Amino acid sequence: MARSCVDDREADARRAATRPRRLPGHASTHLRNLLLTIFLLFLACLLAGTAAYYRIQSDQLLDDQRVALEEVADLKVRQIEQWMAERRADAEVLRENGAILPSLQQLASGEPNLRAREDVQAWLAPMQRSYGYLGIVVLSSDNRALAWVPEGVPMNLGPEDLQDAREVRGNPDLVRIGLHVQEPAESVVIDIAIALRAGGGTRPEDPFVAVFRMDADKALIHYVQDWPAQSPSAEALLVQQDGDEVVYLTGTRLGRHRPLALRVPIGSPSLPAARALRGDHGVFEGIDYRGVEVLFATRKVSGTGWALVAKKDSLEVQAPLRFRMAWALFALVLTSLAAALGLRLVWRGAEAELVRERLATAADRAELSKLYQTLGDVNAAVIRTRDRRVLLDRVCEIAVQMGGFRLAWVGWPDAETNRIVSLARHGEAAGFLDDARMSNLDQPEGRGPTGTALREGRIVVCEDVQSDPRMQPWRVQMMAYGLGSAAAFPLTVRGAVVGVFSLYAVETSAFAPRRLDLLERLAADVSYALEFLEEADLREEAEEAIRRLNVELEERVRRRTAQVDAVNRELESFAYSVSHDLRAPLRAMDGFAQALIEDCSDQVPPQGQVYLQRIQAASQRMGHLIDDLLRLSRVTRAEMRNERVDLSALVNRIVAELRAVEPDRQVLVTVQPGLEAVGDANLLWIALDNLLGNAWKFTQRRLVAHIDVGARVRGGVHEFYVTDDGEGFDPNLAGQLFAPFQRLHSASEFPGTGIGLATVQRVVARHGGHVGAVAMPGEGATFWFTLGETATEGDAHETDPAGRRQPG
Amino acid sequence: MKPILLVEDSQDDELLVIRTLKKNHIANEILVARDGAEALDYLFGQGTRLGHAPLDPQVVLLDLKLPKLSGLDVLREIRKDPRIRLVPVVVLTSSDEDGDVEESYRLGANSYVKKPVAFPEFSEAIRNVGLYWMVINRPA
Repeated sequence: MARSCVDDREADARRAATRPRRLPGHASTHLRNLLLTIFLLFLACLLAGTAAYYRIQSDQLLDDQRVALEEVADLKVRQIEQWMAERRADAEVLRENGAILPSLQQLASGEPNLRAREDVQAWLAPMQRSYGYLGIVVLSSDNRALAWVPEGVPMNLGPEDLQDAREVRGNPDLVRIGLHVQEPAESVVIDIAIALRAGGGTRPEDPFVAVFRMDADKALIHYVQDWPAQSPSAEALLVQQDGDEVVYLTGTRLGRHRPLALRVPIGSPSLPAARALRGDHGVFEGIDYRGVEVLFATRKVSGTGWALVAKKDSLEVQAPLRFRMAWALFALVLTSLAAALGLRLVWRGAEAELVRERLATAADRAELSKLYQTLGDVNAAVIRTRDRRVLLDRVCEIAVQMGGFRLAWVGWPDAETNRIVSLARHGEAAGFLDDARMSNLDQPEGRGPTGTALREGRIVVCEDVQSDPRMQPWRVQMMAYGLGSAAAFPLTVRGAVVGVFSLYAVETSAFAPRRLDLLERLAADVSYALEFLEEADLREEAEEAIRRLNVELEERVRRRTAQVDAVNRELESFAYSVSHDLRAPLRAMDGFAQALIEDCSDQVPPQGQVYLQRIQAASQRMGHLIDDLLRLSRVTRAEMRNERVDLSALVNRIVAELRAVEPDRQVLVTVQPGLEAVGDANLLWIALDNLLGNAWKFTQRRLVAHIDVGARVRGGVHEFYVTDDGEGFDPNLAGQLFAPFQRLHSASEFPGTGIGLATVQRVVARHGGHVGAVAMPGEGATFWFTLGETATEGDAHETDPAGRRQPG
Repeated sequence: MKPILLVEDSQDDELLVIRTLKKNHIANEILVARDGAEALDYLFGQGTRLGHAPLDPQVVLLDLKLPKLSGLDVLREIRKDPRIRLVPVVVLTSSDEDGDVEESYRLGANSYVKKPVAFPEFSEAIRNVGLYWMVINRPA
């Protein structure tokens, strides 16, 4: 110190005396050189140190991020595979259901059968509701929709669906899961195709195929896009190869692409999705679809052609590093201005800081890795375990073993006592729960972390048991059990708090923010599991209901069949009796009247002979009635065959027969060529014979009559019509037309038994169609009917739409 | 000339059938059995006809709906017995139920006539059976 004072004075004197001269001061030069050397040396060291610091930091940071990305990728792939296994299980419930096969086979045979369709729907509807599907449709072997839910129009199937259906039909063990864009709504759906048992269709050995449809946003996309921690650039992508392009199945969060909307050529070597699809497994650096540098982890999803990418922008990955480097440079500038000694001190301090930091980072990293491991184990337990109690036990055990906690437990409120009881617990300090009383009410025993978390639905942390006034009710016991800090996490099912997950550590302040984040994630996973188990319970109930319904249905069908058989047998014998016994006396009346006329004509006066003819006419008329009634009953009972029937040819044949009977009538008949229908040729003949016979009969007063036969499409259904310009009838009476024995004209005007239209109605009903009539008195009538379609439900007597041709 | 066996329970029908046959110059003797059992008695010389020789009719006119033993049962018995299995049987019925027609032919009925028996139909049936000139005595 003294020395330097002298030096300064000497230097001042020297400067004053020799101002123009610049005397090179050996000492100062030396000192300057020395200082410079020291400074440069220091600076070189500082730079080298900073570089080393940067390198260590960068390596560790990257390592951390790699571990985190891989953890996330594994978690997602596990969730996706689990989700797929569930879908498969759902579909197999239907596959294993043998009870719907007969109904499906009936539907596949082309026979229109409302009841069979309702039977299948009764199965599909509970599945759709309880498993949350948008819709389910069952396809025949030639990909016709046989039955579907929800009611109404079957859901739209695209070419990919039909391709999937063909593939699962070829390999019934296969389950195809595909994402498609629904055209009109632009929504994205997931379709799951599965083969059912064989039967039906043009190739009966081919199986039926069921297609289940889910809202992709609520299922897969949600799983993939959910990221376990806050990060502006983190993103998970599910991709698939299509030709030489990558398809982004779940869309992108950052690019705001809708699912399936983005396609990128697969050739690009550094594209994460391309590498994932090539089967590269690990963590890499590359340039993503936005052209941004990213760090990413890749995984394949087994059993699919899908691959998963979990990625983060390099910029975000390195952000903490840049932040630290900025500070380091700032320090560099500061320190380069300070003295050598100061530099040395600063350097020392930096060195010490570096060592501490490295130790802290290492500890931090170990801790983080341990917690990630815990999270992974809990997720594995969530996926494996199907019993609520076992799952919660396992979660507590994992938390204690892996997270190093002294006690972990799951509390549930008891509605009667308002106390929180433990459902599961683990750890050395588990005995604490036997002594401690906790409440879910707002009272001292309910104001600890557990009670508060349960009541308010938020995470509650107690940093230090000893100093926290809220812990007063339990402090002594907790100290005895060595519990230093605590945290409680609410467990929610569908948004409602149902329980609480509480953790206790030996040390105080054991719940640092990063740790707390991960534990929150863990509690969220437990919540998810509870929700899933509750849904599984509901599903089991639904399946039980289906089983019960099955048994009930079979019983009902059996009883109904027996009843129908009995009624049919009765009808059969009734018809038989009628045909024999009722006819016998008529025959006698007719026969003996005839005998009287022939044998005793000389003894019976002319008037008597007229009476005898009347007896004959009456008995013959009753004979016709009986014949018609029998035909009506046969129409109802006869076996039906389904075949393609040329209605135009049939009509022409019937008209020819009518002309043969009354060759003098002038009737212009127009028949639309090429009329075809699928049905029973015999029954259709009976129906058309009646309709044309009526038209023929009721136009007999016209000098030149017109009959017009054709078909038109109305409401998506083929409707056949027979129009005449005959007598017509009062439209108010149209409703009565089709009941047996209803006649709108007197028998003397137009002969008939009143059974013909009832027969037509039954024939049409047996084909699953409807029949109706439109007319005005004196202006002719139009009778229309549909076959084999159930689309036009209901009113068989609806009034005339404007398009119908009125005869004039 | 062999007799004709008419199996018919309704007296009205019996009278009408016989009248039709007579009016159309059928000269064969007409024996009437009132039920299926009596028909078999005639044919086998048994039961009520015990002691009589078994009947060998030109043709059996067989109603289907009969007391005791139905027409179809009678037909079955006739076709089972080697002695009379070749006797021509014409089934008379008021029924045009498809089942009856089919079953009659299946059991070996030679022809089928619907009541009331109109003569043209009857003579067609007899023609089918191949007995036309043996049964019908056409007026010159």
